[in-house]
Amino acid sequence: MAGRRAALKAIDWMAFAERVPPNQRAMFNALKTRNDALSAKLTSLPEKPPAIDWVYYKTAVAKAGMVDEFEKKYNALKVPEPVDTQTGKINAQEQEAAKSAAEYVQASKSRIVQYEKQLEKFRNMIPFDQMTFEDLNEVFPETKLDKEKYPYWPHKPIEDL
Amino acid sequence: MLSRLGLRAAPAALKSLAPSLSVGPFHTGQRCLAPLPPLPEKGGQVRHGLIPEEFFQFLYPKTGVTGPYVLGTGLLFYLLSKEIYIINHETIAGACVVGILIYIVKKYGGDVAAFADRLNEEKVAKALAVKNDSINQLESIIEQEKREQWRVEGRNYLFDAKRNNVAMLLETNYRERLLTVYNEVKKRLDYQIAVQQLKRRKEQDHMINWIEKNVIQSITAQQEKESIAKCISDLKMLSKSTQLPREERMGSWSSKNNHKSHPAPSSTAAITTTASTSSSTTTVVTITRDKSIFDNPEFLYILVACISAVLLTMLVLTTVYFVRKRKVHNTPQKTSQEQDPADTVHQAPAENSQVPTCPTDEITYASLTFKQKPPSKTAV
Repeated sequence: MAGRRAALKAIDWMAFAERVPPNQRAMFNALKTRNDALSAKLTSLPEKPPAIDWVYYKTAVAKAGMVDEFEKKYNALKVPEPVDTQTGKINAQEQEAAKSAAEYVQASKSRIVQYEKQLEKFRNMIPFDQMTFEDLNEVFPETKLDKEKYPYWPHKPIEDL
Repeated sequence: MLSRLGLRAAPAALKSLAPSLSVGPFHTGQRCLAPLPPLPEKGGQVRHGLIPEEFFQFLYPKTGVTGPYVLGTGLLFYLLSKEIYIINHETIAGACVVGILIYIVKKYGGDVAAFADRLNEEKVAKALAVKNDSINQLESIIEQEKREQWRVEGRNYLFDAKRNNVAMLLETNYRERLLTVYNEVKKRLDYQIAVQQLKRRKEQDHMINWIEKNVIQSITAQQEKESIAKCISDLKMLSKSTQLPREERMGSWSSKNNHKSHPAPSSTAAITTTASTSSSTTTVVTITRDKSIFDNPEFLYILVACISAVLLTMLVLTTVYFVRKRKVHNTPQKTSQEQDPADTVHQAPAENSQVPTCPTDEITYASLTFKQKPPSKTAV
């Protein structure tokens, strides 16, 4: 009994809800409703069934020995605890999730580094009114006019003007 | 900027026009990659729009402030006097054109400059906007990435919740099992008890029915008659005991009461016999009830008599009253008739009352008017 009961951990649903991205909100809601339903069902059931009043039954029932037999068997009966099959799977899922999360974090960090580099470039740029066209082509390579492909002015297709 | 552009563009232009040619002795060094100093805010100073300030500064140490002006004037006079510059038509035309040009530049120069500057500003502003947008976008993207990383940290919650769910399911299942065991055992025990009770009740009912049937069978006809007679006599005694106090109160009606009370015992006797047959206990439920004053028919006659007497007296009184009122009404009418027209010391009212004539009975027009005195009325 004690082993079973200690398994329930207190979950901070508000913090959990904050961390859910918007595209997974429906799944989160489903999980929460399921959890609530289960906990409600759990609290509705009593922890132990009420005790049977054997003395009363001994006096009331006329058949001899029946009540005693029942009592003996009832007390001897051991209700088996349900076997836990899912926790192992959940732990495995957790490991996988940890791995994929680490990967994602790694990729995210590298992306952030890239963005930071670009940001630095923009921040350290010389102001436009001190630039020449060559400076502009350095900072924004897409502005460079391709003089080989289009040798005649304006050096780019007319549609792009 | 133009100078800088010249520095830059010349080698590039040369290179593009004749890529194979060598550039020559110019610009052989490496291109200066350091950021160049910013452009000067103002252009070179000029005096009178033509002559740069440096010339005046150059001559200032030797000739002071007036030096260049004196030089200019001397030069001009030398040209004119020696006829190196000849004044002819073009001079005047040129002077007019120059005058007009100066006027135009002075008037519209600022506006044109502002317009050109604005064009340039727009281009620069567009580029600046692009740059700022890129910066903001990058920053927001970085922010989002960081946020996603923070979100990922919350995955533990999910697994905790899942484990909790599983644990709750197991617990509920176990409790349900315990509960079912308890319920089943209890149901069986209760069933046993219920069966016992039912059996007992059935036995009791059967026994009662059997006993009753036998008792009823055992009541012979003789016993029945005897019991009925006894019940009747009991009832008579009981009815008599209730009737005696009533006879003392109602004197003349006792015989009637006795008549009335006879049918009652027979009915109650019937009740008692039926009671005896159904069960062995007999109780006389009711015998007679007390006769009240309202049951007597004589009461009705007396009531009618009283009411009629009252009505008669009322009638008599009202007639008397009206008769008397009428009599009283007649006498005041005569006295008023005599006083008004005559306005004389009238006789005593007693005298008038003695007059038997009642001219008011004969209502004629003459008698009604006050002016005319009826001839029999002159008592004066």
